[in-house]
Amino acid sequence: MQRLLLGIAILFVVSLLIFIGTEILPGDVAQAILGQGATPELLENVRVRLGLHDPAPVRYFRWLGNLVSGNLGASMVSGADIGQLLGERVWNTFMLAGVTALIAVPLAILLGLLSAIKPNSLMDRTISAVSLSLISLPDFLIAIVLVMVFAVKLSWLPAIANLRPGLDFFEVARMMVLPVTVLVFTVLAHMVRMTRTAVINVLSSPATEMAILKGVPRWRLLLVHALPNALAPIANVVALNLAFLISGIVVVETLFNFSGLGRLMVESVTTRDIPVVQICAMIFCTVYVLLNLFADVISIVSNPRLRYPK
Amino acid sequence: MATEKDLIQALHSHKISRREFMLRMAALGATATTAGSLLSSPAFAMEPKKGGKITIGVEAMQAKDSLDPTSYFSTANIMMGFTVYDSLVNRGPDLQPIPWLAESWEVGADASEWVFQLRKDVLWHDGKPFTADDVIYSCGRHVAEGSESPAKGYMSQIAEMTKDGDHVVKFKLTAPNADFPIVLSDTRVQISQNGYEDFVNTTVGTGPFKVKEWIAGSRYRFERNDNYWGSDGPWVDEIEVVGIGDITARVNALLSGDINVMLELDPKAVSLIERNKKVDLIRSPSGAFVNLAMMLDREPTNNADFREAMKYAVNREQIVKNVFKGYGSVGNDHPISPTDPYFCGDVTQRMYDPDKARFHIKKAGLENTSIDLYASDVPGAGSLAACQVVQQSAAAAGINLNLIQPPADTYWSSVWIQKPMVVSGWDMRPVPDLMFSIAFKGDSDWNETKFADDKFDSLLLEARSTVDFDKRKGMYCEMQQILQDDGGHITLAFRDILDAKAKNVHGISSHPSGPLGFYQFARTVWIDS
Repeated sequence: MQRLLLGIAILFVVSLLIFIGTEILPGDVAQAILGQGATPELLENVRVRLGLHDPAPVRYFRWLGNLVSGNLGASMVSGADIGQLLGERVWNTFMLAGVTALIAVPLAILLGLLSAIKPNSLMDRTISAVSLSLISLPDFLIAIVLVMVFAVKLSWLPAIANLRPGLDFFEVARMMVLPVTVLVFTVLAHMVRMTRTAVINVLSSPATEMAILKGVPRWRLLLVHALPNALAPIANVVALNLAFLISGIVVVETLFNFSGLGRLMVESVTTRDIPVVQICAMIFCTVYVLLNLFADVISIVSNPRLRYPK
Repeated sequence: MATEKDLIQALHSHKISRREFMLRMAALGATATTAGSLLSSPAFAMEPKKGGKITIGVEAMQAKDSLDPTSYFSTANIMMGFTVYDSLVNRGPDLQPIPWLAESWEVGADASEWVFQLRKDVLWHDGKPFTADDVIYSCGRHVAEGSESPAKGYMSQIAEMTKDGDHVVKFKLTAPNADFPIVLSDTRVQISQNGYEDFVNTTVGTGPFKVKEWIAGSRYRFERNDNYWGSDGPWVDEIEVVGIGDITARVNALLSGDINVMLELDPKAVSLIERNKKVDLIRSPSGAFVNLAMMLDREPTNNADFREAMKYAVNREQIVKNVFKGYGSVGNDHPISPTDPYFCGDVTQRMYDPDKARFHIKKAGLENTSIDLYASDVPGAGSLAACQVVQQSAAAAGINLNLIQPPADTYWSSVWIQKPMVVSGWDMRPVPDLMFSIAFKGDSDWNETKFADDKFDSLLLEARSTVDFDKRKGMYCEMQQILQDDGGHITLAFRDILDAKAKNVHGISSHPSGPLGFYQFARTVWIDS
């Protein structure tokens, strides 16, 4: 409960910081809309229509008031309802992140466990080398190479993910293959390394030695003894990567022309469309807070010492 | 100049349309019958076919895009305009006005009164007939109170509009303007239905396609209007527009067949298109240019010797060759391109001359002094690279340019017309008058060099009321010379418009005014299955 309240307080602070940030940026939405075609008269017309002449605190609290009463407001640039603007993109982003997580998280834990069985074995070294090289290659490079091979040369998969309503499952799946692959590559290494380290730590503890002496089989030792004890750090790093998948994948969204939240936010910053920027920031922040909360809950649940405090 | 053989070849490989072929042949002196008989020979008997779907990848689709002609925003938006609406007057590849919704027009004694006869066979998408009321309503919306229309400036010259029956509109202008019909061919002066105001999700037009789906910034789909009044289209069943901002992603989408037409190709990517057998380049020489703007009212660019030095220090040929990979042409420090009928061949071409540049920079006392040049790609792809070439060629003449790259998103509001020397760029205007009045007239808001010359301004007004072509050309010639001698404008290059399409897509012509046949490919495009 206390954490939840803290989360709401963080949301509020973030909204204020974002607002101040966008205020500091030079130029306003009127100049962004009119671009090279701006004249003082046209600028004035736009500013009056959008209420930009009100002082900054008035604009901030007007926005906050609307938000609290459930009104997301309208985009300053297009006048479109923000709820409508977000709907599809939120769904797209969460789908991309969700599918990626469904593949990356089990894969990472599996690979992490495999490397931890015998540290510095051939298997461990191969997994480390591959996952580390994948994270060292910039995601745009991986994306371009994959597109060149699978879309342009072989024509197996589409080069862009042009998602729209009315596509059947198979079409959507084909469009998702390349972006999901790139994202899996990007987040995999971090989680693999963390799983490996955490499990190796547990394996070198006296409790494990005891279990080995008791004659517990190797697989049971790993899955029943080591993994639950290593769950807390793994949950934390998984949460961090999931949050990254929601907010930080602008590059992948751009290259695959994927209509998601990251791109919307970047575009809105460019046009100084503050209400949209604010809502995107709120969504990202909520995701961070919730995922961290979730990771904490998992570490408490998985640790009897925390579950039953003295 | 292209020869007959070139043209026939271009037509054969579908680089130009039949219409353009006829026009260009006419320019070569061929009679309509010769050109026509060439067309009807078996090699050219490819008749457009109905059906199929065009998916076009564009460089920008913005949430700000609108179905309302007074607030078009991105390129995709302007293309939507020509797909769904019609203008009163259209513009040929030779930049002359051609009858469109208006079938003819007459000019009054001093070019301040114009009478337009409207077509009688045009229907709106909802079945209503098109009349004079629609014209008066749509033209009036640009200048209404509180209008944010970018066309407000030049539409304000209309003092009064009256109708004479259902199919005649009379315009009375505040001052004579011999170019008025071409003004009406601007991308924003399209005709919407009388009284129509709610442009949110759909609209009613007279154009070759109807709106099937419109979600600003994310999805535009159009379906064929089978009751279209014109005869050269529409052919395809459906057109879908996909915004793909990233150039690499756009080229990949075309090569992989996800889209079959793409807008705006980087000169650097041309070789990718040319190597691939499934796609074609569409090239349109144009009057769009990239330029340096040196402001005449502040240090150090107010120094005439400095400006002269800069003009000699720019290696125009190298910019066209290296930055634009040959897909462009050299400028001559005035905004009129060789594609324009008013281009003046008598103005001597300025050449790169480091010795003269050194002489003038010494005279200005600025030799080896660091001078800021604000460079960016905002005015158009290649403008930053062009500035880097300028920096090199100027260094060889003892001019020390300091390249500053400001943030892109506030380039127009806090760099342009603020800093003494910046890179800028303009799309082609259909007539010299529009270009001169917007960027060089003493009192224009967009006068980026703060150029003020009484002789220039008075010639501009005089030409506006001169209907005779040769007399006008004489005046425009003099103005081009004045700009080259005294202006703060250095044309770095005119750039070609480069687009691309799949091999089986036909009927897209090239036009100097804009991409994909002046944004109008939707009407004439067809697919050979």
